[in-house]
Amino acid sequence: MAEVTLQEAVKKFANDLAARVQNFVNDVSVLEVRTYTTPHDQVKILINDRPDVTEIANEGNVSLRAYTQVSFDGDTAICVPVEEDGSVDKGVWEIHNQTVEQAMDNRAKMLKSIGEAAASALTALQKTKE
Amino acid sequence: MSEETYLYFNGINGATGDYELPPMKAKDLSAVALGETISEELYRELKNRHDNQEAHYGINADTSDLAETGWAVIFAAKDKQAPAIREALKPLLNLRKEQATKKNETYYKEFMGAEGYRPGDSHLDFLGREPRQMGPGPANPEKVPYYLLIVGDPETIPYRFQYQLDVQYAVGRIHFDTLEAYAQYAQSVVEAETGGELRLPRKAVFFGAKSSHDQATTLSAEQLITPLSKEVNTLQPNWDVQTLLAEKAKKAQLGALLGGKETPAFLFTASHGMGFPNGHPRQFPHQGALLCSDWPGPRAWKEPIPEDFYFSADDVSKDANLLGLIAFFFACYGAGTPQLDEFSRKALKAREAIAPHAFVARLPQRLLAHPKGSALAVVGHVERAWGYSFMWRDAGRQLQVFKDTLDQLMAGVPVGAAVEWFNERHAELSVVLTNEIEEINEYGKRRDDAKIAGLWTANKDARSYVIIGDPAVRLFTAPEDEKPAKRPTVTLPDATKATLGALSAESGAAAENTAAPQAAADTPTDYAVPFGLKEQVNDLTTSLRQFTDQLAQSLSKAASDISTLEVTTYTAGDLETLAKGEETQVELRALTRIAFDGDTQIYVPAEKQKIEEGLWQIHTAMVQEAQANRAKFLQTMAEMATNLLKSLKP
Amino acid sequence: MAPAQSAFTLSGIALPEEEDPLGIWQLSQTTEAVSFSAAAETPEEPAWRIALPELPETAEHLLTDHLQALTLSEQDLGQAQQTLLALSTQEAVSFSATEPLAGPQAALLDAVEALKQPVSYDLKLQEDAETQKLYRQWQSFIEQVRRTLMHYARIETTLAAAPVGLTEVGWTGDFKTTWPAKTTGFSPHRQYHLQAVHLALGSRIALLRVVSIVSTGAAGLALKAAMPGAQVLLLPATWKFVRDVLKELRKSWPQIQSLI
Repeated sequence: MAEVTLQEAVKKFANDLAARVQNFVNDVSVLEVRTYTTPHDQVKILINDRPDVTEIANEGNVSLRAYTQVSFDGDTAICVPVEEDGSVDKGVWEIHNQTVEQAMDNRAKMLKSIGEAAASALTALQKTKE
Repeated sequence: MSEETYLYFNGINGATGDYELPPMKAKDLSAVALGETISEELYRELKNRHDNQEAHYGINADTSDLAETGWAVIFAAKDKQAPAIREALKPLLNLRKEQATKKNETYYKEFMGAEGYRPGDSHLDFLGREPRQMGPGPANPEKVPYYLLIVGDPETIPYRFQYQLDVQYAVGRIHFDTLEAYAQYAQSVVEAETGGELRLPRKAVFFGAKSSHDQATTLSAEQLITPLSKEVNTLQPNWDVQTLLAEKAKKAQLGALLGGKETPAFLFTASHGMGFPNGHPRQFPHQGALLCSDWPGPRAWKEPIPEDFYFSADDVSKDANLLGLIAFFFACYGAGTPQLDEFSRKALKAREAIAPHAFVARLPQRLLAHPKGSALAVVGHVERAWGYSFMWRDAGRQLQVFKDTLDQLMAGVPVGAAVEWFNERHAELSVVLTNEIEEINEYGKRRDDAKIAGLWTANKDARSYVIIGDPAVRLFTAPEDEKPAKRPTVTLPDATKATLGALSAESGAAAENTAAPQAAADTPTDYAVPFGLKEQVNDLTTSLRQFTDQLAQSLSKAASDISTLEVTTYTAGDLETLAKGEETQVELRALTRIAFDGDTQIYVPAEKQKIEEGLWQIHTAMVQEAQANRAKFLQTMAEMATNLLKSLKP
Repeated sequence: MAPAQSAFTLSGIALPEEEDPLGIWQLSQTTEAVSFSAAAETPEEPAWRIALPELPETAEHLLTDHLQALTLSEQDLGQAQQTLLALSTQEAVSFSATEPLAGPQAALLDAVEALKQPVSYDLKLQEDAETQKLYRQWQSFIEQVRRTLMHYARIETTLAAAPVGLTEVGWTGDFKTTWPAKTTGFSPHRQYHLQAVHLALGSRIALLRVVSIVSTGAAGLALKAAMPGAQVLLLPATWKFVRDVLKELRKSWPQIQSLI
């Protein structure tokens, strides 16, 4: 029956979201941003398909070039990318910083919207049982 | 016909403009036929019918006299609307009772309640049960009258039951959405038979749609309509026989023939019937509608079929005057649609659903319940119609069944008896097919796929002609020495409507939803919907159900896959080729992966190739867009799902 | 009307009875709309195609207009939702006869009233071709939105028939965007495509919202009809109300001239 199917799906949806929110709460201590570069020839150029980004990201010859860790209380740890001569790789650094800013901004928004979605679903489920 | 011969199905898919079914190989159909069995009892009945050369009727009596044949009405045992419908049909039931009991009181029966059709009944289960205790064979009116009117939808009383009963009996069916429609039909039949005013001109029209490069309508126009109308014209010199073909067989013309100023006493049409995908919004209202010559044909038109090309229930004017009309529609789904596909399955696999539930075609329903006066009956096809109805393998055109039927009809024989020739053909083909299959399966006869496929299809085709309407109705034309009269109109008095309205509300409040059980199961609640609106609620609920099912699936996917968000940016040397899905070279230029908790990883190809700043900026912008979109989408999905849950709650 | 060489087209899911209730997209089942290639086959998934003219000023203007239209549509949807909520709790929202929402409101309330007499309502359904057409249009619309749920989205942007960006959005919201290799630097074409992606995904979400608002609205109004089945029977009339309200409110967008 349609109603049962939708009800089950909404329940699962709400529970899944709620679980993710819970995990987040448990792990809210730090936000980490990592910037990697990979040698140009590491990136597969495939015909009629897309490069396997998992392989590049997880198993390929990647170099972690910059790292930022922001803790809950605002403490920040940064690893800055440098060239061979010790100078800062400005290109990578700029990209990395933009990403950190974005990550901090979006984490709060994502949590809020996921939380709202879960709450709304759970409320509706409760009302259908009444 | 060789094994590699392809069999072409009639019927046009209104949603795509293409043929409803692709051609099938004879050997595939043959495999299906060989895997099928019919019950021994049914086989015996069919063989008995076939072997009985003396009479083609299922009764040894004057079929024009109900006092000799009897008449009965059959309701579903569990149909709680039955008392209300019976009330609405009362004028007709009273008339039939009067006619059937002139010589024998027992020749009129009402099979309802415990005596009605029970779920799962075969015709022999039904016939054999008390008080009938009737076995297979010709009708015995004392136990089960020859003329049988089934009242109910084909989901509750299946088409299969109707086919089986129809072997020996003259069977018709009516099913309407409202009590008023039942009452209108009943009143129209009574007026036609007893009012004394219905004296129609002896006019028969043969309407043959024909579209360019369309094999099916070329065949039906040239091998069915043209020769049949010519024969009738010769054999019925007292009838005005008109033939409309091709350019003269357009929708506007059909409108004039179905309720307009040119409406004849008898109308025979041959055309494609419209088909739609399972659950399509146009399926219930338009399946079986008659595709006219307005359709330019498969080569000129490769789009969905617009309503302008076909004649449906919607096109019957509210001022139509149809009283006394009997129509014969040679068209796919012209009388109705079963839930499961009879024809296109692959060997050994289950039949697929072609509709959410079985239903009667809307066009005959509309014609038989018109508020200004109804047609009396429509003979049509359930499921697809085939050229096998009138063409036979290497023998060519075979019109005898049609000729004999029309001959009887025009002589004033009731329609149920007149179409017995189709039952005889069904019986014959069943016996021949069963014997052939037995020879192959049991005695090792060499299999001729083309022959088996032909027999199987022709048999199903012959079986599937049904009457929508009372099988005891007949044509009412002016006697030769009398001048024909204008068709009277028949409208229900306001008092009757008011009574029926009250009945409807009562029966709706008391009733379970016994119509279309699959749709009923999907009706979101057990609330009692007023009887007349059940079909609309079911239709709307079906489409809503499909939507919520899809939403449920989407919701399940969305929630389980949100652990990371990935945004990738590529460049391609030839984007146009990529869009077509063809081989091309792409290069990954940036990747951002964001975990649910916000942890982010970015991957950038670098080394000798510098990071392109502009590309990176746009990649970053896409990341932001992706994050915003996902959040909003999840929220909207949740909101929509929860609102729908509330809507579906009683 | 949009310039002849431009088009904002949604294909792959549309049904012939329906038009875009947001008034932004042309619905098409063929690839007649400008795409990467005139010979391209209709993709399986819904494809949102934005074909822009060559002149940058015109292209930017068009995109801005359509994005503004999306924003205004979202606001108008909110107004429709509020009106429906008010109607379910009051007898009627007070509109003067000349106000744009008076007509749609009156039609909707008529539908609710008619349901209170189920026999005459059923006759209306049977005899009234307009009502039957409305039923079919609602079912077409919900079928259309159902198809958008079956797939996610594919957005293609062209400029003077040359492709400038292709984005495929997956179920989890993952984006895969492909640009022509020859486009470099801070090309405005990339911005156009980014805006097109925003427009397409925003429109998709707005269509889902329409379903949500209609179903909630019908459920609310069903209490007034006090008849079993009313919340389902009122869906077409409520959808018509929302569609007509959006249409009426669009008339007050004088600054957007380039919409279809």
